[in-house]
Amino acid sequence: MEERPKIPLDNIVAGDIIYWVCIIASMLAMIGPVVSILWPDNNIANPYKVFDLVWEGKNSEEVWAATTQEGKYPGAHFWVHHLTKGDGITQLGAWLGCVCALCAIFPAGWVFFFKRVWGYWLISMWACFMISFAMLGILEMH
Amino acid sequence: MKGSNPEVEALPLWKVAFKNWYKLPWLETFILCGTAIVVYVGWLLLSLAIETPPGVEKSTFYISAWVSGLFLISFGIGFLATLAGIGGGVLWSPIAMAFTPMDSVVIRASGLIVAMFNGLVATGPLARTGMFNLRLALFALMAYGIGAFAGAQGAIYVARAFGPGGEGVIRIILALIMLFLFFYFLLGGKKVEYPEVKKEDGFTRFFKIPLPYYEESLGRVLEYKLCRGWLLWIAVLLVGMIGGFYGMGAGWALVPALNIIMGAPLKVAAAASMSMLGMGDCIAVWPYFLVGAMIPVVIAPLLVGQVVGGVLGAYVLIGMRAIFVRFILIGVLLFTSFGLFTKGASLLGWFSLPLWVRLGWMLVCAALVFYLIGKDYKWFGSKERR
Repeated sequence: MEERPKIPLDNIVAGDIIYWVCIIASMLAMIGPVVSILWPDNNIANPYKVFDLVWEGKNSEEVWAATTQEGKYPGAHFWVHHLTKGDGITQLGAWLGCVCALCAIFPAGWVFFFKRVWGYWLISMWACFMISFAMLGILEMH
Repeated sequence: MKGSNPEVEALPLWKVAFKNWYKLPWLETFILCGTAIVVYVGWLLLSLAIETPPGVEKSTFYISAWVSGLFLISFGIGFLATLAGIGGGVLWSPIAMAFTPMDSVVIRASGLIVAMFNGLVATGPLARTGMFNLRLALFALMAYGIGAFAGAQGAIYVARAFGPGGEGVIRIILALIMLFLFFYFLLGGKKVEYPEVKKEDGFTRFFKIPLPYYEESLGRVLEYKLCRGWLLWIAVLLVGMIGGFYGMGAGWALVPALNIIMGAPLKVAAAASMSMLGMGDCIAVWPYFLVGAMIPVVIAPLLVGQVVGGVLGAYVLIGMRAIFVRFILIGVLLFTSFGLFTKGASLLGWFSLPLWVRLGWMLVCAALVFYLIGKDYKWFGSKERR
């Protein structure tokens, strides 16, 4: 039997980080809604109103306007200041899931760098740039 | 598999899992499934006894039923989609757009979460097999990410600029895409397990993508060549735009693109497609996230459903013949396509169909699925199963 080729370190680094961040994100996304429902006042948006409005076909602006005290969406990164709130925890879970590629590609890119695979180091940094660019909302068509 | 014991390898998978519950990856699988059962089933039952907080109109059970219901739907989609080898987003977004009154941008945002987590959860285990090639995933991601981001931005722009009329047109175009996918899955699609690339082109060779891996079915190390990288970029750019616009991922198109255009072996293409989908949608998801279309309490159960359904689906897939799931999906695609078209027509004020027509069409789709399964298992005309 032929010897199996060694799995490259960049593969393992990227895959393992994605996997574990994904698991942590789902655990947070499970706990968050329970906290939201148990303490409805400890939320940015009242969960008891959200589902009715979503089911009525209201768009996201109308949903946030009707369910938050400020009457508007507090921004994608609102969990930073509201980590004890139910939807703050849920938002952190979703946020973490949406940045897990960044968490994985960045260190994998440095593995390429130390292996002197310059091309893939550059491509990895480009991918990280694209995720950060999208995340910061620098370009908006609307 | 990471952490499995060779002595118990011959046992059924569930016995291996219980025997090695304290080892990875079983430990986190048990924790994940256990927490999901406690949160979505146990909590739902407990909420019947919990008093509704003062000042709110709906009962705690009502809201918990919503959360658990969304989890169960997403779990079912994640499970079936993994068994059928397609992304979960291709089912969630069209079904929700066809049969619920929810706003299409909210649906598409949640659809991207579904597609993304379906891909992400598969990436970890795949990365420890030689089939996964990070270089190939990154190479394709360069174009896919741009397309998906542009598609997502376009979706929000179109929704704001065109209003209810635009919602109708979006559904009708999606109905046509679903119809195309129906025929694509029905006819099997053209895929080659080990494509033979006679000559690499200079552009593709420059990126040094191929990574030899041990192919279990052949019992040897498989080395492969790739070609037409530039054409793949164009294809995945377009596919990314459609996936980002409709929030439905693109696994159904990425595998054939990598396999047919670039000549990647089928398993390598499937592994790269899953990780590319997960990583690429991490870019596409942000325009929706930034405008508030990701409503935390709505997307959380969908996200968890994909992770739990995807993980369990992957384990079940090892020991079962999944072709009949594919036939069920063919029926779902045909039924959803019809639902999307009639909903779009109704939104545009063209016509509105009575309920019995929809039910009749559902029966036609069910009969088609029954026929396809029967044909595959040779129920008609022969007693011997294939």
